[in-house]
Amino acid sequence: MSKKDEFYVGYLDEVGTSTRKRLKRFVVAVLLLVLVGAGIFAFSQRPFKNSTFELTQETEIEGIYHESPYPMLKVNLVDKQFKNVILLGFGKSNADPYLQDIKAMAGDIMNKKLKVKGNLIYYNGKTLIQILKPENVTIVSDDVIPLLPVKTVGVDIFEGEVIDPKCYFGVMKPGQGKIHRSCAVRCISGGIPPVLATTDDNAISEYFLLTDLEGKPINEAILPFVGKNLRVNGVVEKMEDWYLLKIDTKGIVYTHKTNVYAANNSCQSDCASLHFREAFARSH
Amino acid sequence: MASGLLKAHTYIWFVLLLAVPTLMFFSVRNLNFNERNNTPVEESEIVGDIIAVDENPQFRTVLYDSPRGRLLELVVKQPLQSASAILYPVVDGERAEKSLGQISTQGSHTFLVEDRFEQFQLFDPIKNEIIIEIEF
Amino acid sequence: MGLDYQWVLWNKHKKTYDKVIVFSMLLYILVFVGVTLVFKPETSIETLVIRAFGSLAIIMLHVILIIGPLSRLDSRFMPLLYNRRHLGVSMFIAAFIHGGFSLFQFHALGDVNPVYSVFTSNMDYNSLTNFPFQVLGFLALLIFFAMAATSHDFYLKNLSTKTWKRLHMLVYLAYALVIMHVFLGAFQQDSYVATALLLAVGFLVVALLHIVTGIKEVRKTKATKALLEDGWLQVCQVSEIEEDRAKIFTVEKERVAIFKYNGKLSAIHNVCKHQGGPLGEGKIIDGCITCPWHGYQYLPHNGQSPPPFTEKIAAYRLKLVGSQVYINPVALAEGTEVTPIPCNHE
Repeated sequence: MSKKDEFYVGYLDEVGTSTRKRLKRFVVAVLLLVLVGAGIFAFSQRPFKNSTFELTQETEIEGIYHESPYPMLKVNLVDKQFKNVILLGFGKSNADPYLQDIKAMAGDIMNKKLKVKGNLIYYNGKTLIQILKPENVTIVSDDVIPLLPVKTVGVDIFEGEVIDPKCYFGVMKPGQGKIHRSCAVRCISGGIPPVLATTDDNAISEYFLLTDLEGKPINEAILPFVGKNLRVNGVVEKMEDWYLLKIDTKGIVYTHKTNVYAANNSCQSDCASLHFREAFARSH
Repeated sequence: MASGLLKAHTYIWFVLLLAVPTLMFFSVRNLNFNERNNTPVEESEIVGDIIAVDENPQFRTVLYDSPRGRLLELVVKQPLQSASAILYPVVDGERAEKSLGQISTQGSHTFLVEDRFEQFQLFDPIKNEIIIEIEF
Repeated sequence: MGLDYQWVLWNKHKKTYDKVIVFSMLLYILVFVGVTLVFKPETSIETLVIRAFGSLAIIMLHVILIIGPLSRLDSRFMPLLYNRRHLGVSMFIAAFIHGGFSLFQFHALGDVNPVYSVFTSNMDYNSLTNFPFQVLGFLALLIFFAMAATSHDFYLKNLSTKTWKRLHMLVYLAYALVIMHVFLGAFQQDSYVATALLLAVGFLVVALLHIVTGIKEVRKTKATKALLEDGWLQVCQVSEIEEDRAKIFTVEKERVAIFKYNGKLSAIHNVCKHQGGPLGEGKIIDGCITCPWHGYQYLPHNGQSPPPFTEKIAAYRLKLVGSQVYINPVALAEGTEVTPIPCNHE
């Protein structure tokens, strides 16, 4: 049968030789495309952070409850060395729904010692805990323990991205950038504290809990800025192992860096966050 | 091919050929395609006689004598993978009572240590786990 | 042929086709997962699934889109066209897994309805690089769903052929949406020359194939315009038509196919009742005009499908003057009996 005379009918079994050959070549080409495509797409992924979310493991921690302005537990690790652990709820929610019961029972839990059982989330020196059940929060003592006031460091400008700490420090990979933006918006909208993640010339990251100029939560006002590269100025405060940044969202500027992974950091010699680190080091 | 179908395809591809490459170009125009160099520049502030150095992918520890006294510099090269980290000297195989300090950020951390300390341990009190033993 | 609707009328070719589809999809997922676990082991399961099935769906979409033009350019690719719908439905399944996981991962367990979140979590509709890319993916998925859901012959019958075809032409809109979904989404963050180039080249290949095919089709249309004489159109010489095959002509804006078989000539409307296939590119098998796309059959002398099938197409009257074939451009009602005219064997 000449090639021209070959005629394919799907429900009849015979297929002409020329047709069969062509089809075989096509299938081989497709399989090659599959292999090469899978290789290229898989290989072309930015490296993931080694952040941790202990989804299947519960840990118990004890500390003083405070809201500065977001719910946290100040844990005395050892010898009065403290770690402020951010409290979170399930999914894209903050801890508030899970603290209702204990608040109702004990009245005011501010500055009281609590025991919290939950799933730890941690990365790069920051730790958070996800509470799954209200009964996992218990009061250890009714004594009110006053906390040291927050130290004001100064006023400065920073470049970075507003992220939600639950995803960024553990739960999602990647937990930042445009891909993750919707999730970050949902989390911050659900009460999870917004954090400004900055990276300096030495690829060292610093994190700032964002609040408004009065130190109150800023979840709603910050939403349009989440997941983008920003230049933010504000008042820096230090609370043991966390920095706070009091900002006015009207002063936020979008930077021209198109992604957080700029190869050559466009910071000049007076690069903001490096400047800040030096200034802070000098003040201590 | 029916003529209506040919016409429809022609219009559609005319639009696609104009719109898609234009949009593709403008979306990637400002992007940076270079791989960012993620390895941090290791800050080292050693001024003195180095006694011992211990190095691994995560940490570099340098024990050295300086005008101030004996110093231990711990450089955290990769972001910490622990819920908390406290540095202890190790005496007779056990963690000392008093810790040296808390480690949380990347970069260099320097501590004044007693001359008798030669071994150290990074410990996570929240998970009650030893992160790393530092033996020179 | 649509007598009693079954999910799939299996035959050996469909089974082979589907085996290749399933094998290729599994191979892709395995290689993607393998390479990721080796080179980017810190990934999470959700990210792995989302990216594996998303990239798989895009590659499948490109393969699907080249089948149409390839079949027009070289009839040996027709078997790929035959069961293309299975490929389409499989692609939809991969896209659905990608979309479903993404919807859950990025929009669920929050303070609003996840679908509402898709459209409102990012309100930068007036920006290009900040555009809510997930909306584009969502809309493309809706189109693919509509296409997959109506890919069965049942819908072909119950939506008119025109409506069905219009719906399925939306694949091109979905294609554009998918490309922009990637360029305004993943590429804004994971920017690699290799992947951007891969997609750009993919688009180029699909576009070029369509352009080349389009040019050929336009040439074919021009070449077959017929000349009017006394109410009869002069079309061609008998010898121009191959035995058991047909030649296609444009008659009063309609395409007509004139078949030669057993020393006879018959003319029928070129468009198959099933999915609009070009009957004139078919062949006479067992005395029946057989459509090259899915093998639907019609008797040449009355345009009716052989019993128990019920499809009917319009027939045309022919006359022979010497060796010159003439056609009466007035189409007869579908299923009308027209005596085939005898012609001399060449």
